[in-house]
Amino acid sequence: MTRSRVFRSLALVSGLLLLAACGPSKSTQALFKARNAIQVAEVADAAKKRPYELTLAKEYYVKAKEEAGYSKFELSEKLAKQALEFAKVAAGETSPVATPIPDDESK
Amino acid sequence: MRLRSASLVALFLSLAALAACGNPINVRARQDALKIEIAKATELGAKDCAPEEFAKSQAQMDFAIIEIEQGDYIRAEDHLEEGFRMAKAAQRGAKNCSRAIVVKATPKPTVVVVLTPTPKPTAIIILVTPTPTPVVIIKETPTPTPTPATPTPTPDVTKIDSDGDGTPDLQDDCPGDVGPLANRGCPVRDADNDGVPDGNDECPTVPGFAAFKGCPPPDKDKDGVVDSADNCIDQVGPVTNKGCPELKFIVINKETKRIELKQTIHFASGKAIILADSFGILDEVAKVMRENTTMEVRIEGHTDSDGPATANLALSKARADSVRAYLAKSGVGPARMRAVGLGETSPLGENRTNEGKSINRRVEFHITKD
Repeated sequence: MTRSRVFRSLALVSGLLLLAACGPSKSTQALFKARNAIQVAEVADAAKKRPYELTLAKEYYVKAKEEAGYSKFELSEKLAKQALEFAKVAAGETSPVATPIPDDESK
Repeated sequence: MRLRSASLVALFLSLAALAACGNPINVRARQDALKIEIAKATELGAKDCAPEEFAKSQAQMDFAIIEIEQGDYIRAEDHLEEGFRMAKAAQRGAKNCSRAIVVKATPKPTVVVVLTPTPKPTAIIILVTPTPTPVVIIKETPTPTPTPATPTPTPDVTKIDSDGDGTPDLQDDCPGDVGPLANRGCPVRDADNDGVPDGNDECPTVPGFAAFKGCPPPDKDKDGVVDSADNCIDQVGPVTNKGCPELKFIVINKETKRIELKQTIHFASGKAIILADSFGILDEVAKVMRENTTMEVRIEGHTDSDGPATANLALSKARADSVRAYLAKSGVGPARMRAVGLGETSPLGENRTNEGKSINRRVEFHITKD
């Protein structure tokens, strides 16, 4: 193997490593945001006011962490983002994206 | 005989291994069963009475769907099992909970007739009176009602899940499309496939980053070098030059606030006459200054230590003036340039050697205003 070939291979491996490093950082960022949002929701008394949404947020957050543990960073990021959305609803920051289901009218 | 028993053991082990990997058919069947349990819980009002358990059962159902999509049936089974446990807990919680029926008061009294699907028709009439506080009166009448006599069993709308995605139609905003509960039963669309769902994507057709709301990072001069890495956000330039125009003789260094020259400006010996081989450098400086209309510079002339200091000072000033005049002639406003002569006071190299002297004989451009 010539020296230039070795360098080329090294460059390729470095590039791939750099690319692979993007996944974890995005996922970690999303997890961090979700965790913060859940904390905000808890402070906003979501456990009493919107326990359904708060529980969903927590469940999705736990699952997102689990997926990150399996190195499924893309899926982890998606789940964490969903946890964030639920946490925002739980905190009363946003209303559910879709039209409320009939049961919600009684709240 | 020994070979036969070995084959049987191998077959048994293979079957055991296959069973351990999770059976897709069983998992699908259990998924359907969990759907029914969740629908039952919904019907019992578990969302209000046991919201945590109900949410957990739904989340586990979502996760099971994700795992099935990923082909991991073992983890899907785990989620389904937990989902079952939670759905049952939600049902128990709902049964122990007295469901409050709140009927909104309307200006005119309304009558709602509900037929129960029993062999003998029984009607429950709910009268709602328009009082300030909602009042619910429930009466049971054993006699048949004027409404259609045959009490055909009405389908339980809470259980209907047209697209089979685990989200009952009542909660499903897209009953014709498969989607997770988290997205109200709608598919998560991402037209540009950048990982940011279209609903949150301000540039749904252009791949981007979540940090920029699904849009590509800003690039004001559209030179392909994002603004955060672009030293010249208003000028087109290659990434190799940090987004700044590729210049042959000079470099705009915004950190040191200098226009750095790749070549020395040559003057006639002992005079302030610029030699023709340096016109290219000054033309480039003039071009940059014409393009950056707010840029102002201080032109410094420097000499080596040969000869009297006062003469050197005068020569350096004359050379700086000469450069200023050349640039002014090339279209740069004279008011934007100040020429100073520093003589031999700021040497960069040793004045004892020819090489050092050559370094010290120079003209510098300092950016005083961007």
